[in-house]
Amino acid sequence: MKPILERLKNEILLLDGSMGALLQSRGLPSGYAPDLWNLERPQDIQQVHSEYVRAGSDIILTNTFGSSRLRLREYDAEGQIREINRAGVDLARRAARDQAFVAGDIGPSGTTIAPFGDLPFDDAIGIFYEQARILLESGVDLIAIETMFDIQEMRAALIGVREAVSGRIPVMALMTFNNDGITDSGSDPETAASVLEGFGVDIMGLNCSVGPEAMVPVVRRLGQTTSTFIAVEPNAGLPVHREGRTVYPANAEEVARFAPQFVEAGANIIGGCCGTTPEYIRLLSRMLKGTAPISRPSPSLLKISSRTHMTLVGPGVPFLIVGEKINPTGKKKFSEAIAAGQTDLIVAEARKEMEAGAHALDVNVGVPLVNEADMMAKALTAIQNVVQLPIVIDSSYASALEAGLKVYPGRALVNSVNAEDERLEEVLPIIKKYGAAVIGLVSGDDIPEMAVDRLKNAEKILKRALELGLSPRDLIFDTLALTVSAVQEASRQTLETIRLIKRELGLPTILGLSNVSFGLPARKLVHDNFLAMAIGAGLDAAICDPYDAVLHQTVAAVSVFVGRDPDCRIYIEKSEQWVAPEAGDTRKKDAGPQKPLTTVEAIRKAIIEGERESIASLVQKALAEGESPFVIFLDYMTPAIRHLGDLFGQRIKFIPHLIAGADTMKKGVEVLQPYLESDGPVEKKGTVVFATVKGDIHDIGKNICILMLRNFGYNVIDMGRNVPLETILEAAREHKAQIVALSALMTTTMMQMKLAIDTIAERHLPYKVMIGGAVVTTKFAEEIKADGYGKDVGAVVGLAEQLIQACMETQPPA
Amino acid sequence: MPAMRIGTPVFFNNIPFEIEERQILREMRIPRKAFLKELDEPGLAKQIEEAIGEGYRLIQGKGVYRTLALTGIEEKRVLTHESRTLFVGEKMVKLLRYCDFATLLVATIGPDLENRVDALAKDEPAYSFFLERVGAWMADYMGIVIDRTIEKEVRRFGYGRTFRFGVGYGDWPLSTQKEVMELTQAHRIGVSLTESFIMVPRLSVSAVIGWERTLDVPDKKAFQTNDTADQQENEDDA
Repeated sequence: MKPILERLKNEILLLDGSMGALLQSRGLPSGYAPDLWNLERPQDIQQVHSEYVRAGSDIILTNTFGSSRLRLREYDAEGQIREINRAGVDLARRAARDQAFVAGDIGPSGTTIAPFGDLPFDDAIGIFYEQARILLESGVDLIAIETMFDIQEMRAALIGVREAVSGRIPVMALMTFNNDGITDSGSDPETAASVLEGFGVDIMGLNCSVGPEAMVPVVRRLGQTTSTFIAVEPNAGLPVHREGRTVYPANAEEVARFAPQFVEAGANIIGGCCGTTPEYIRLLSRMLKGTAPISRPSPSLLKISSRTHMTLVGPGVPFLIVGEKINPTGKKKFSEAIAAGQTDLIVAEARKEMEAGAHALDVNVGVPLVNEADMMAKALTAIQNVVQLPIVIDSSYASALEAGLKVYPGRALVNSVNAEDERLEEVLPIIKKYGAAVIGLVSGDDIPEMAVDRLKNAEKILKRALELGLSPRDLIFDTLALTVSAVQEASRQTLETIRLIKRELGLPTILGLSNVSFGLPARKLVHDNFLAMAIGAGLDAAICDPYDAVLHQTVAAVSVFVGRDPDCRIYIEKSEQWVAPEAGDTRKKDAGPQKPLTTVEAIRKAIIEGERESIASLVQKALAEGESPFVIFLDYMTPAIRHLGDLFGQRIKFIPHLIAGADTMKKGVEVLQPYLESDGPVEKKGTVVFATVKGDIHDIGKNICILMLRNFGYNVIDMGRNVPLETILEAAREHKAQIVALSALMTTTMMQMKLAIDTIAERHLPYKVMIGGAVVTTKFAEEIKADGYGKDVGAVVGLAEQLIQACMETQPPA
Repeated sequence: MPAMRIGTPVFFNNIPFEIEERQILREMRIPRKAFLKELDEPGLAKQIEEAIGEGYRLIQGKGVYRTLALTGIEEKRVLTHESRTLFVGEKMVKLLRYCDFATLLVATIGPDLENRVDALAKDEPAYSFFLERVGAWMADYMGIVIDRTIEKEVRRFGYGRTFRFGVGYGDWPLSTQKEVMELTQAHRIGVSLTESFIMVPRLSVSAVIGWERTLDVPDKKAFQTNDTADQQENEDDA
C-alpha cells in the first residue's frame, strides 16, 4: 500500500465506526471492558474489524482504546497490558490484510492530569509511552490518540507517543469538543490546532461526544487554522439511555449525509464514533468515492496559545504586546515573595497586566538561591488559574524552562535561545519535546554590531532548529535593542536586523523594549518612539511595559500604517478610551457650579457613601475648624448612619452600603474617641454579649452586627464562634449585660438558641435574648420564645434599642 | 467511547476561574447592578474591587467527584454497593428514584481566603464581610465547575441529570456529610469536618447529582438541567 500520508494528499480516507455498539450486539455486558475481549473473544473482535474493512474502511482502529496500564487496572488486568495490546493489533491486522491501515488506538487515562488533576504529568507521559511502544512493536501503521477532553492530557499523550515511535509511523491526535465547539478543558479549535501543530502531529481532528452537525463548524475552524490533515469521527447523534443501554438515535443515512460538508470544511479522513455501524461506512464509501480533499493554505504565522486562546504573531495581524512586569529584577518585595515561594504578587501582577491590555505575559522568577524550576512551575500554575493569556516562559535555566512547559497547558513561547552551541543543544530539544515556540536571540558569544552578522546568528539558530525537527513556525527572533545612549549606531542595526530577518528568512521578530531608553530622561518617550520605528521596520512583537498608555496608543496608531489594522477598526475602537473626559463630557458643564460642602456635610456624605478613606481626615479637619466633637458625632455622624438605615428600609440602599457606612463611621469615631472621653468615659447605651452558638463556626454576620451596635453606642462583648452556653452566660454575668445576642447559620446548630433561652428562663436570669442568622426565621424565634429576632443586619440596632427599653421598664436603674 | 468513571474519585487541583463583578454584586444582594462602576458610592466600589483582587490571589479552587452505582430503593433510602446509610430521607428517594447512578461532589476555594477573612474580622469587619462574600460566591463557582463536568459525563452516556442537591438540605441529614467526605476522599483536596459536620474550609460545597433515565421520568423533558430549580428547591428545603 502507498503510505498513508501520501494517499491523504489526494484522497479522502475512511476510518471505521463504533466498536462498542457492535460488541454489545454480540453480548458484551454493559460496563465490561471491550479490550478484554481481545483475549477472551478474539473471533468477535476480528469479525467486527472485517465488517468495517468490507464496508470500505481504509483505516481500522485496534480494540485497545482502554488498554493503558491505568485503565486496565480498573479491571485488574494491568498485568496483561502487553498481551491485550498485542492481540488487539494482531486481530486488526488479520482483518485488514492489505486492504486497510491498522491504527493503534489510545484513549484517555481515565483520570485528570496535573496541574489540574491528580496524575503527575510525567506519570501520564509514561503511561502513554508504554502503550504506544507495545502497539508499535506489535506492528501498527500509525498511532491514533482519541477522545481527549483535556488539552493537557493530549500533551502528555503526544510526548509519550512521540518518544515511543520516534517518527517511524504517523501520529493522529483527536480531541473531543462539546456542542459549543469547546473541549471540556476550555480549548477552542484554534487553540487545539496550535498545540497539536506544535507537536508536529501528522493528522489532527475530533471524535466522539456530539453528532455530526455540531462537528462541521469545528472541522471548518481547524481547516482555517492549520494545513495538517484533519480527521473527524462523529457520534450517531446524542445518546439516550433506554432499557439499560446507551442508544444513539441517528441512523446511518442521517450521519452520512454530513460527509460532503466535512469534506468541504477541510476533512481528509472521515469515520464514525459511538453508535455508528458498518452500514454507515458503506454509505460513506459510496458517497465519497473519487472525492478529493480541498486544498488548504499553508500557515505562515507563529501561533502561541494558553489553554483557551490562540494568538497569531506575524505580519498582517495585530502587534503583540508581551507584558514584562512579572520579573523580580529591581523589585525587592517581588523578589522576597518569590524567595518565600509565594505567588500572590505574581498573580496580582498578571491580572493587572491583562487588564492593562497585554496580549501575552513574560514570566521570569529568577531570584538568587531560589529553585527556579519549582518556582516557575508554581508561578505558571497560579497564573493560568486566573489569566488566560499565552505565556512567555523566561529563564536562563533549561530546568526552569522544562518545569514551566510541563505545567503549561497551551503552546508557550520560550525566552530564549541564542546561537551559542551549548545553549542550542540545551534548549532546542526541550522546545521540540513540549511542542513550544522559542525566541531566538541573534547573539552568540557576543552581540554582533552589524545587522548582517546578527542575521548569521539567526540563520544558525534556524538551521539547528530544523535539523532537530522543529518548524520555522516555531521561531521568532529577538533582534536585540541596545541602550541608545551608549551606542547610537546599535539601534539602527537593530532596525536593520528586523528588515533582514523578514526579507531573508520570512520569520517574525520581537524586541525587549525597555533597555533602549536606559540612562535617558523621559524614557517612555524614547522607547515609544523607537517602538514606532521598529514596527515600521516590520517588528511583530515587543516585551514591554503594558501600563504605558502612550505605548498602546503608539502601537494602535502605527498599526494603521503597516497593515495590521484593516479599516482602522482597532484604532477607532481604542481611541474612544483616550478622549479626555473633560473635553468630551458636557454633563458636568451643564450642571453648573456645585456648592462646595462644608466639612461636617462632607462627613455626613462620607458615611452615607462609605468613603472610609477620607473620613479620618475630614473629622480632623472639622475639629481643627473648631467643631465640637459631640456636635460632629450627634448632629452629623449619627443622623447620617440613621439616614442610611432609612434608605436601607426603603430598599434604596442595601446591606453592603450599610456595612460600608458603618465601617466609615467607626473610623471617624476612632478619631473622635479621645475628645469624646476627655471628661471621662462616655456612657454606653447598654451591654450586649454576642456569640455564635456552640457547634457553629460562621461569624461574618455576627461581626457586622457588632460593628453596627458599637457605632450606635453599645458596649458589645464579642465572644467569637462555637461558644458553649455556660461561657456565654458567665460573660453576661461578669459584664452585667442586658442582652444576649446569638447567631447561627446551620439548621443543626440553631437549637442551641432554644437551649440558651430555656436555660435563662429556668435560672430566672435577667437577660433579653435576641437571635439571628441565615437559617433563623420569625416563626422559629416565636416558637423558642426569643425576645427578639433580627432578620438582617439592618434590624439589629432597632432591635437592641427595643430590648434595652424593655429592660429599663422591667428593671429600672437603681 | 470514554469509560464511565464509576467508583473512583476524580480530582481537580487547580480549577481556573474568573471572579465576575456581576456575580459578586448578586452575592451581596445589591440589585440591578452588573458592574462596580455602576455603583453610586465609589468608596464601596473600591472596597469590593479590592476584595475581588485579593480573591484572585487567595483562592485555589479544588474539587472531587465520585460516581456510585445505585442498587435499589428501600423505604426512605436509596442503596449503593458502598452504603445503606448515605442517601436517606424522602427527598433523596424522590431525587434518585429514576436514577442508575449518583455522583457525589465536593468543591472548595481552599483555606487562604477564609484565613484572611478571619484575621480581618475584628479590626476590619466590613472589608472582611466583602471578602467573605467573594469567597462564598467562588465556593459556589467551584461547585458549578465540577457540576458542569459531571453533567457532560452524564449526557455522554445517554442519561439526564437531576438538580444538584446539597448535603444537609431538606431531610437529607447533615451527618451524612461524614460518608460523603470519606467516599470522595475529600481530605485530598483539603476539606475536613468539624464535629458538627461543618466543612472546613467553611467556603466549600458538597452535593449529589443523580443520573436519571429520562425516558422513565413521567412528564419530564429529556436532559433537563435547571440550576435555578436546584437553588429554589434547596432554598425551600432550608
